[in-house]
Amino acid sequence: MGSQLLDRALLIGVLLAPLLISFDFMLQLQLTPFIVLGFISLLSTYLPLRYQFLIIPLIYLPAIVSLGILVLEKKPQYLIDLASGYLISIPFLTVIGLAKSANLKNSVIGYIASLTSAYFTWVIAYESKDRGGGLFLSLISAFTDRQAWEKVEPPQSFAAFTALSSIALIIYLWRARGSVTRHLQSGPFIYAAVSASIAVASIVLYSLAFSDSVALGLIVAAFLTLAATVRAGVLERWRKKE
Amino acid sequence: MLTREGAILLIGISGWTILLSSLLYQPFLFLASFFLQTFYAAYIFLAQRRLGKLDSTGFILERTVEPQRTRDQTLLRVKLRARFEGEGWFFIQISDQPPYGTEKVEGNLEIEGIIGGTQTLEGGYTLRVNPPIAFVRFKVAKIRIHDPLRLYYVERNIGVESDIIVPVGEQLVGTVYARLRAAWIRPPMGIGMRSLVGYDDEFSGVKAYELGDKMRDIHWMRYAQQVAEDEIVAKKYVKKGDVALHVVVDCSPSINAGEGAALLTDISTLLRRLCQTTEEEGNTIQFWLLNPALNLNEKISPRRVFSRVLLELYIARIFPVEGRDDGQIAEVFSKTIKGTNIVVFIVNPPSANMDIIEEMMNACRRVGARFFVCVPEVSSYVPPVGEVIERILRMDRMLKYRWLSKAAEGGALVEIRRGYQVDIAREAMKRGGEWAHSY
Repeated sequence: MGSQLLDRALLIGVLLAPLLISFDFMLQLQLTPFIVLGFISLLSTYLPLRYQFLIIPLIYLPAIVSLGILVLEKKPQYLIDLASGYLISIPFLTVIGLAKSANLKNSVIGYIASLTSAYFTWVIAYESKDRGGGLFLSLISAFTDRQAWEKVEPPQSFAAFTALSSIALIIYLWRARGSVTRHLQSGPFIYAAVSASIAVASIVLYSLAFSDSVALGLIVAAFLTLAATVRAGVLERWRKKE
Repeated sequence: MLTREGAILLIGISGWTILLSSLLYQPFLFLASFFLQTFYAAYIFLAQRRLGKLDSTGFILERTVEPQRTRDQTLLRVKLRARFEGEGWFFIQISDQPPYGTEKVEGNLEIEGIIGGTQTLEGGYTLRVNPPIAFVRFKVAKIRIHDPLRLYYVERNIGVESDIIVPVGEQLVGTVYARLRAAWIRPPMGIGMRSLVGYDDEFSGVKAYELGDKMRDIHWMRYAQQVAEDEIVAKKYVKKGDVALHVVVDCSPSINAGEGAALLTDISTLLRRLCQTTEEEGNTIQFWLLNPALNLNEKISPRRVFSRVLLELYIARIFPVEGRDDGQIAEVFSKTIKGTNIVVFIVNPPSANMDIIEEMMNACRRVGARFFVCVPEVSSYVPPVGEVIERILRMDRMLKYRWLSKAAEGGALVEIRRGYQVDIAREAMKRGGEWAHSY
């Protein structure tokens, strides 16, 4: 019972960072009926089995109506709002996917995807609020003007929450996927967690003094990944063939 | 070895790290991705070191094989049970390989789960034995021991090879006789059972009990086992000395397989054993040697007692051919053998004389003589070192099987394996009624 509670708490901790960023940009938006419809229609794909008959009307009806208004009354606003609704639903979709993922690789990659999409949408929402205009137009602007993407400064709390949720993620996956064997073989887990924390701290310290910390981070990550792949993958396969 | 999931994970996180560092750079996103990548790369590295040092002797696999006869096919019900005698828990995957001459009909050859403490892992599958196969050998199984996150594993061989002689014991004797459509004399390699005390005749098999049969002839054990068929089963006997054993040896160069002509040595031991058993039974034996590279002059003693004619008359018919025969050998052979005879073919296909052997088998079928085909399991003579040799052995096995399934219809197959030719008779007698072997 206590173990299950701890697992749930860890899962909430994992989802905390992407959800906080998502709720933050939701507060900045001026919601219209078609934005809400677009938001709900994509999220409806995760409805339980007994309500799945609602998915097709929820997706197609708003799309057909907004398209009809565009063609008959020449008003594109409803279609743009619907697309904006689809856009803001993406971080929530990735978060649901992360919570429901069945294996470790999907969880890890889903976590990074949810963080990235949440932050990306946050930047677009911030831009649309700052410059005026719709969410969808800000998306196009962010793609065409890279400066707009880089000039936005996120609050420091995002970094803190992300750090906490990253640590929660590795502990949660170790507990959830490691089954009973994790109790006796926790050595590699602890050493790897300590090593990764030291590496992150080193990169952060390095960035205070030098500007090429990203390059250093890429070199360290690439070296470790290459070493693990060669030693655990390539050399083992080579030995096996011999 | 890195698992598929581990490899995809490393590739996926690396991709995200590169993307976040170049296109969508934001420090906290980059650092999150960097942290996860360094963590999992370091974890795989450390897990590899830890599992590499693991002593796998504590992992024990028990394989129980239970042969079962249903109508005209033999099934082997295989049960696997793995346990770990040591401290700790491990997630493992075990993959067993079906032996040569069998095919899986149900169940899984792979089982996976957690073992340790008192917890064991169990699974099973059913194999169908191909009709001409008389002897199956289970090879060692492979075990994969995983780290807790299943991103890395080490692979080891586990268990021991186990052998099952299929048409052994009274339970299957009746089926073998039905296939050969005639009574079965005590086979030259000891497969079969001695007659009851007080009988001079040889026990040869079973048949449906008919009016006129003695009550003491009823095969009570078999009847008890097959009571569902509602048919009383009786034993059959034939007179001693009625049968002649013909041994056809294809002495083509392919018979020299193995280091130091090990196959040839094993075949000669098998022949000696055949002679010994046949003599014990009071039966006659006749050899048919195809393509013998013998210099007969050297074999004749200085006293000139043995001539080739005498040699052929008393010991063997010698045919110096290399695949070139106009049907004379098969003709002579078919005139010699009778329906009550047993013929043993010893051949290592492919060879130049396969057509002649096939003709001789056809002759056996025409006259109704029962025949064995003794074929070597070449992989037990040539160790499969290297990919090329492994591929050649696979092709050799495939070719043999295809040839046997086509040419040896109606006969029984005995595989010659290194070191087993001597004990086939003895082991068969010893294990006659023992149907479940566990290792």
